[in-house]
Amino acid sequence: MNDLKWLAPKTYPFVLFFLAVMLMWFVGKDTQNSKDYRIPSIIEEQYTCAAGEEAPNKKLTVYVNTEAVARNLANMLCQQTVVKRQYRQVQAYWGGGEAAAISFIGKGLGDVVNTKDNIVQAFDAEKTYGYKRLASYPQYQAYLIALNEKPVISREYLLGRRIGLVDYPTSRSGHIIPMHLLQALELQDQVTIVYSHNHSGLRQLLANGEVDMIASYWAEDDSERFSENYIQPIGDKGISGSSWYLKMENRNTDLFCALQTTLASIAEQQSSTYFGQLDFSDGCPAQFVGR
Amino acid sequence: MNYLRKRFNTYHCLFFVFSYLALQLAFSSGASLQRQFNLERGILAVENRVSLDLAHLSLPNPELNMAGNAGQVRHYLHKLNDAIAAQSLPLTVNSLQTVTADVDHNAQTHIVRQLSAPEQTVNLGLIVQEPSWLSELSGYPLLLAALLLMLVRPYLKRKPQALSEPLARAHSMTQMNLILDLANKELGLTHSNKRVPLANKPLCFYAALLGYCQQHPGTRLCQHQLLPTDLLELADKYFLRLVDLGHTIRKRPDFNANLEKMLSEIRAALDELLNDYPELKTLYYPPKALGEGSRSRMHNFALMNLQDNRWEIVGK
Repeated sequence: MNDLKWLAPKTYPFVLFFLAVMLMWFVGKDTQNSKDYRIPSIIEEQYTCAAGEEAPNKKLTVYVNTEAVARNLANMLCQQTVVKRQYRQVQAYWGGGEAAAISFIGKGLGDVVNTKDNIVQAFDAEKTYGYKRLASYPQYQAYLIALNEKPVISREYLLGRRIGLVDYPTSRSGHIIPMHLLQALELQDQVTIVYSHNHSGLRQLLANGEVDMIASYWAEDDSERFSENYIQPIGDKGISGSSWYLKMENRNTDLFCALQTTLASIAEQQSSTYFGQLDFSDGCPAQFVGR
Repeated sequence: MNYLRKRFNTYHCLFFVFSYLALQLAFSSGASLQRQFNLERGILAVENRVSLDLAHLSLPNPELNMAGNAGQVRHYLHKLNDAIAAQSLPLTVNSLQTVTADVDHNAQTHIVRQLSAPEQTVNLGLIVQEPSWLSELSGYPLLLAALLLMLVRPYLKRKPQALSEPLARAHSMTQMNLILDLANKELGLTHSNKRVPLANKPLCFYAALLGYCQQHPGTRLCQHQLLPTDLLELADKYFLRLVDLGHTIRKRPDFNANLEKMLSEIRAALDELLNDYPELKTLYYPPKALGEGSRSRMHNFALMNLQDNRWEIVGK
């Protein structure tokens, strides 16, 4: 080892030390392995399934605002004979709020859509794109629902109360009708409105005591948490339930009937009695089985 | 163990410890810097993902009367944390605006990033997992410090060394003493196997010289004068000893005669013996007169630097 003396001048140890320090720096850096810094998309708002392999390369677009219903309907349609004959794919969309409804119905992008009458009327979709009603859910009533007593429709009673409403303005029972009431009683600025994202959120607000009353429909399982004695109907007539529409570009009656059959099966699978009652519109000449 | 102790002294150990610390520091610094860099990139990736998804999330916005869907956002945060974990990033998303995810935050670093969306500023709360300092230790600095020690060892002497080997050896080894062996009629050195034979007469004379110079330090012995009686008696005594040992049967020689020859024989033997240790010559070598003084009357061949503990006679 002493023979190494002939190698280098006096600065040799310092150079060596410096190089060793540099080496350790880089080795240390290298131990931190770099990763892929892109996180893939995690929000899913559509689902596609294959229908007919030999069908023309067309897509049947479905729009419902509930994910479970959208997926279920898409899967059922992919197995449907008429659909498989006419379409290669079924693509179902959900979510997106009111903006999505505007796209799919207002611009006629959806072939099979589930929506409320006021939206269809807003865009005059039946005339603009030829949307034809397939079936509709029953009419219902809007109520003011309170926790501890039955609300009274009077200015004195409602003055200064906290009322829970939904935050999207297309809701009739949760927004439009109660606002009409407040407008009629000239109470717009005299009550505190607390907004919730959906009707279940409203029930949460009422149960927590964050509001004095909410404006909503009355579902059969609401009697578990609230009392039917403490609800007050509002609005002068019943509200039409949401409907299923098919965009008829041609006289595709087979598809119309096939869709009605599928919707009937879905209705039968429903545990709730409200969504189990579908009223089918005219348009299918043959009588279909299984109603 | 003893092997190691012989080859590595405290200076070596100090150097090893110092270089290990320096190398470990460099290693940790490099690793730490890279980790910070990677972490920032990871945070940016999360911000990017959330920004892209903002339009599809029902975040509360009181100015626009938007209540927000806390359940949907919480579900999204959990899916986001799963995606982050799949990329092995040391991050967790804790909150988005007012919605918090079910994450355990036990004394870890919290960061809040603000996303300036057009309609509102969104606060994104993150939790960073700090690695334990034990994970920053590594075997590389240790190995490299050992390697460095090996390579730099020749440079680690306490004083600058001349390159001649005998000197180095003389410093590190114990002192050598002269041995005059009457039984074997040779001169030797302790700690060495080297033995140089010497004839009877010069042997006895040198033995006497050693004893005489030790007893009379600072004495003057000149070649052209008669030798002191004590010296001659000592030489005779040693000669008788040789007779006792059976090395000779001659009668006692005259040590005054052929002094020059005796001295040159002694010097020749010492030259051979002390060939590797020339510094010992100052102790044992009867000084030569150089140049013209060889026949000078005043030249002193006594051993001036002799020390009591540096020589011994064996076989007396």
